[in-house]
Amino acid sequence: MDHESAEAVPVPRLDVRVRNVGGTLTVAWGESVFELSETAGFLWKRVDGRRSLRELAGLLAGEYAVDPETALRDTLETMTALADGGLVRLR
Amino acid sequence: MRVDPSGHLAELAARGLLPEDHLAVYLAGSLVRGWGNSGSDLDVYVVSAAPRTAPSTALAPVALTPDHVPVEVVHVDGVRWDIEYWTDSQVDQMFAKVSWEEFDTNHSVADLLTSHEMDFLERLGSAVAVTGETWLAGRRTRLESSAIRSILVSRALNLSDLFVEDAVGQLKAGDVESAVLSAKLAFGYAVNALHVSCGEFGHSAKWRARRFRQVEQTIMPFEEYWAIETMRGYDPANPSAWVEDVVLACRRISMEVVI
Repeated sequence: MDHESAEAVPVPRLDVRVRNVGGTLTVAWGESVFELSETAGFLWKRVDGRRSLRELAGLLAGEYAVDPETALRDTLETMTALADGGLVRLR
Repeated sequence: MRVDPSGHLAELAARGLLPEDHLAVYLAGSLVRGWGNSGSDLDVYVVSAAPRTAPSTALAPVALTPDHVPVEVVHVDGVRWDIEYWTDSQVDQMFAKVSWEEFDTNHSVADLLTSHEMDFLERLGSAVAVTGETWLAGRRTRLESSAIRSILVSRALNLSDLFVEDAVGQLKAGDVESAVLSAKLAFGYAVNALHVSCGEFGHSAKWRARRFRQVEQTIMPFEEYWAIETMRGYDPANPSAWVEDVVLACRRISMEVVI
């Protein structure tokens, strides 16, 4: 992973639909629907259009006690999938 | 201003408005909740085994059998009483509509309820029995175990989403004034969802602040709610910013309210 992509800031679409069904978050836009895992849900709640992927990964690493490199990889994977679905754009 | 339920049964009987086969008579609405004022109506519900056949002031349509609810209007000591006559069977039919089975299989389950039916179910929780306490308590227990909360939360969030989509589309099209109104509507529904999730039913916008004060929740403080409701942060020079803030507030509620 290059330094540049880790500094990207995910910005959610304003009109993303979100539901919390028994603690599990589902996010959707258009035909894209994602049922988020616990860690993906953790990240989604902290995507605010200001935090970079690296900063989000830092929060993930702290919360789930995983090494920073793994946390960054997971964060990038999650946000890339959401970006591909049109729910966030990486700025 | 609160209402004292004693004397209501005798008043109804004296006016020939109390069916012999009544199972319960109860009072509901703003006066019962202590939210009323000198101009408030009193909502009186009479539940019987058989339908009322006497001529009525009005018939409220419901999607049940029978397909209407007779309504009488009288004035007692300067207070208008709206008296609705429901049958026990109609109440059973409403509960069948808000079962978990219906919620799990029918995505439009909220559409099965007419506004009158919705009002009936919403008011059950805060009703005060004049007679038929056991009937009322049993129906409340059934309401608690029904899917009504999830149904109403889902409905409110769906409506909020629709207006968020409108607001975003209108912003994009440069129709900023419409976007402001859509965002305001979206927020209202999102707050309704928050209240219902806390067990505070009712969808009338005029009582939203009252309901907000009533619920215990950590998703949004009252001050933040009131600032948006009263558009305190709205800058006529930059209305888009207000719309975006409100949309984000709606999303936060959607994310935290558990269905």
